[in-house]
Amino acid sequence: MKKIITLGTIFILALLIGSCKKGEDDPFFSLHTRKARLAGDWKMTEGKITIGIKDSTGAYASQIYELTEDGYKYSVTGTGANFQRKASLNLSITKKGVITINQVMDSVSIESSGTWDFLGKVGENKNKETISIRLSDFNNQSDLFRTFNKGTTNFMYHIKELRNKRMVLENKEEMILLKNGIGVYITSQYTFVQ
Amino acid sequence: MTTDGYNEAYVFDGSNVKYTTTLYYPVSAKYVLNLTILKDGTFTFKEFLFGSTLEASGTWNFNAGVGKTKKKEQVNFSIDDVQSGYTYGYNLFNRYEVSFVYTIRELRNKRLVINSSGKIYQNSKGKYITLSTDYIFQQ
Repeated sequence: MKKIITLGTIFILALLIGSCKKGEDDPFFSLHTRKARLAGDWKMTEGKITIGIKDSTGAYASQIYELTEDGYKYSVTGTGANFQRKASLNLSITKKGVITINQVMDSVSIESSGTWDFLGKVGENKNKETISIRLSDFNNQSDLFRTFNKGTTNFMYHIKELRNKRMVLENKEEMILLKNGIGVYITSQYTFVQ
Repeated sequence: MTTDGYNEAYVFDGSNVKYTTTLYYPVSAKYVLNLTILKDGTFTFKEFLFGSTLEASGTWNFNAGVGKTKKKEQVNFSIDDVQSGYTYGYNLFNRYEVSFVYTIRELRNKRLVINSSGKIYQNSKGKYITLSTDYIFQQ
């Protein structure tokens, strides 16, 4: 009888622990809540942004930004355009739902702030696997596609990995803008550490 | 809508819009907004405003309730596909963006009241546009 109870307890615990995993690279088990893990000061160490622009004729061009913690390399598919410049990205996220973003990309320095929240479990989305961010204050322009806010004031990221000191955010082929026959699509991934 | 110096207001009565601004004379025109929200997390909407139609579909979700917002107090919409029109055109419901958030003021079986507010754009000189919207939907 004891063996059955023990096995049952282990089975239930395994189910509970397994259900804590939201992103595909999340830890199997964590003592911290997702909110507690997300809160803190984060420094980007690695990232890649692909901005796809489809014009009214259907032609497609990609601008690729490969980011390190202090710089980025830019290239355009199909052309020789290629250069390297300085860059940095820092996030400050509080448990009270406030986020501050500090980003430098060459001569552009942007500080913005607003609120964040997880998204819930509706449809195919798992509870708290996506972060939604709404920005209300900027010290610079808000509409640069290559920046963390994807040129918008309201945006989301899928949380691929969320650990106590490491986080990976991503989005895949997301339509950002459709205007006058021109479509802008962004695929990006950022790795942050505390 | 507010930018550096003028306001625009759109008042809808279900089939028409009255547009007033501090810059021009008031204008009235046909207006239609239909929203379909499904339990599977998808939504579609079609908005007709001043000859501009935006028909789009995507996914929706509730907020989880971090900070001052209560759980399921807000609904997040994210456009995945546009069947007609542009996300950044003359239409208002999507707040000129592909991802937009509405606060649910009233949610009944046959009636939905939502609103939104906040900046939608700022330029490098600090000039900005805010958009505040209030909608009442009925089934």
